[in-house]
Amino acid sequence: MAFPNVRLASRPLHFIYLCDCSGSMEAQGKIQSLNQAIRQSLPSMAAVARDNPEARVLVRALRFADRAAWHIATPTPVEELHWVDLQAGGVTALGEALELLAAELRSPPMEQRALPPVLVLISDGQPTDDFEAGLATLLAEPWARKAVRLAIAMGHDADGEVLQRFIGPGSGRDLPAGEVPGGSGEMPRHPLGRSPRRPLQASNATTLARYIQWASTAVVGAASTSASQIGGDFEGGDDEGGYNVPLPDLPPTELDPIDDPDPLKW
Amino acid sequence: MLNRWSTPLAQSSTGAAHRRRGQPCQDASLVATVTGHGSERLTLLAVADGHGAAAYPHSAVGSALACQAAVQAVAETLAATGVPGAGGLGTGGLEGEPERRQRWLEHDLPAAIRRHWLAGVRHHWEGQPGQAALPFEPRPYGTTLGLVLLAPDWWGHTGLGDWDLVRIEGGRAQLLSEEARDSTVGEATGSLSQGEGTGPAGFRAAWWPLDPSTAPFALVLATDGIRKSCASDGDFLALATWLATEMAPSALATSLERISAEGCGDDGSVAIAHWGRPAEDPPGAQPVETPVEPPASPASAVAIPQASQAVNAGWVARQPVGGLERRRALLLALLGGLVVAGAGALPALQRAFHPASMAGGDQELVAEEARRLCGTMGLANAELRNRRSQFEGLQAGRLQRNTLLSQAQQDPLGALIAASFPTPGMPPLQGFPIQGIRTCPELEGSLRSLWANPMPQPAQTPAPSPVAPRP
Repeated sequence: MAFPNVRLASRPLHFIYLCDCSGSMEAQGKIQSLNQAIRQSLPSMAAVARDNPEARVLVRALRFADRAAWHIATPTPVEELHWVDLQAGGVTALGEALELLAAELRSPPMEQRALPPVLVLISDGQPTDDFEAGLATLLAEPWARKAVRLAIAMGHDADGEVLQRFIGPGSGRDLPAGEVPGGSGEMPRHPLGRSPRRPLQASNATTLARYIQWASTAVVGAASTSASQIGGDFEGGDDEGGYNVPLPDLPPTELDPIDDPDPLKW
Repeated sequence: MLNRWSTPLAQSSTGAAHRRRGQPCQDASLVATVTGHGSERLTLLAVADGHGAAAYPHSAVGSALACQAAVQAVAETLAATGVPGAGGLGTGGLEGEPERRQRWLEHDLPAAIRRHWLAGVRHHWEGQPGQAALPFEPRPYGTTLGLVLLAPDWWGHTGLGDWDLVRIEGGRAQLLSEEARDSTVGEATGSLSQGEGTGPAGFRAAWWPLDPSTAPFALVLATDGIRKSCASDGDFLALATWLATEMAPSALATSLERISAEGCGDDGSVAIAHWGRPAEDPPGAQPVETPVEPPASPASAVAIPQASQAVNAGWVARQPVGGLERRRALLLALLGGLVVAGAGALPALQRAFHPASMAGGDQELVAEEARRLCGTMGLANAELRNRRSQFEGLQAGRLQRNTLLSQAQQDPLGALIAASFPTPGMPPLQGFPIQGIRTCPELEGSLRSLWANPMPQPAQTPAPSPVAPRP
């Protein structure tokens, strides 16, 4: 008998940007740099999606300023995505953004068979609303706890502690800043002081673009690979906000010798 | 009692993503018949899925050893005390027999499987260059294991991890056993490598009695790569139905490849068994008559299958199941008791919902959703079943009806489900709160059935007529 008329389908991989659009993002061209970085990353992201046909990469974006709202509300296949520029102005309603995000990570509408989503928070400031409540709501959702949560700090006014709490406390396998690599007898997975389990510091447009590119390609590639593992084996542990997707190495930045200096510092 | 089980089959297939990356198949599957003293005989169907993450580099070995450990454990029991009801020691009528069998499936057999598996993986570990000096660690061999046991007068299952077991009977497919939802978000699953000692933590087991009057049915045991390749659980049940009732056995390998290529890309394993062949089946169909002597007890005697990890490493009795392709097509898999509407037929919309306060636009969205469902009841039932969390959430109070109703634009099906949530003190559907929305008898019946019994955990209340666990 012929193969039945059943719907076979790749597994959805939801990639969601959470973009700070507060007034401070207007300064020093930060919002333009963010728009540019995301737009430029899309072709590479689409290429990664093509290379991993078992995953269906679906992109959304949330913006938050005075209020939070979906900038791209519909999960959109990356190859069909046309980035519309974000505009800056207002304060930083990050807590509300996390609440909105939490609603979308419930199941349903999240598919039970989905791959762990990738959440990328980009901010240059401090939340002005109830961040704690928003984070609690978000982390109450199993899909949020299992998600790959990344954060990029634009400039040095970003609240690193808030971003770290969004990511989670980290695995403990990364060396704390200042510790000598190899001092514990264990090889660090990532170079000293730079870990995707910490907020990624983007001090200029070049570094921001590299981090965005890394998140939208290397991380998407890793998250596209279905690899089962034992419950509780997640790096950092589920309760600690650990990952169930092994994160790739970070790209080189201005801290590295090969990085080009960028005159514009945030 | 006459064995009415037909020859089962099993197959594993390397996933499309694994092929592209040059990775091995980490699944394994096996069919074996173990004979003990006298007429005791049990047939096993096993599927195992080695964990794919980098922390489990030997999971392909672990999954193969898991299948073999199951055979060893059953053989050990048969040799020692016999399996209650396996043909030689009573047939379920002896006092205490059901309790013994349940305990065996829940505790004793899992413990024996894990003991044999640990011995096997340790043996492999110690044979690896440079690892003999390192402390033994079973985690790199991590794997799931799903096991179905077939006896003349009962059948049962045990195992742990994210495998699925489907029973197809009379045109209906029912998911009998699946891993608990909370633990399966993302890529997490249970594992034979978990836990201290040889305890059976995480195993889920149940068994069912059989007698000559038991209606014909089929069983499909599958690793998670099959279900995750399907767009919905309804599609998975329909696929399982096709695999068991229409597919030519020779097409199983290519079917698994297609499922992976068009689905999630993961390895896939399926084992299929049939009880009581229909009369129209050709005479080629034979009951299981492939006794295989139990393997030597020491784990060192376990042979690790070749790299393909496909099937039948060791003691497998895999034979084509004659006549399957000639079986009549079974209808689309549905929940127990749900009726399949004729394809393309739009049942009359004839039942009005009761009044409620809902915005007109939202009300129309829900009405449109009801019309859509009534027009495609086959798929509709699958879609409804996918909303298990909403049915359960509303009943448990985790979800509020008004919240779902207010989100009709984002989730009209959720709003419809909320609208059908029984008002306390009223029968299902009598309290429908949305005025002017009409539904059809088929949809009404589906919703009523789901509210009356919203997808119970199959392993805890298996049907039909399972034997209850010990008090």
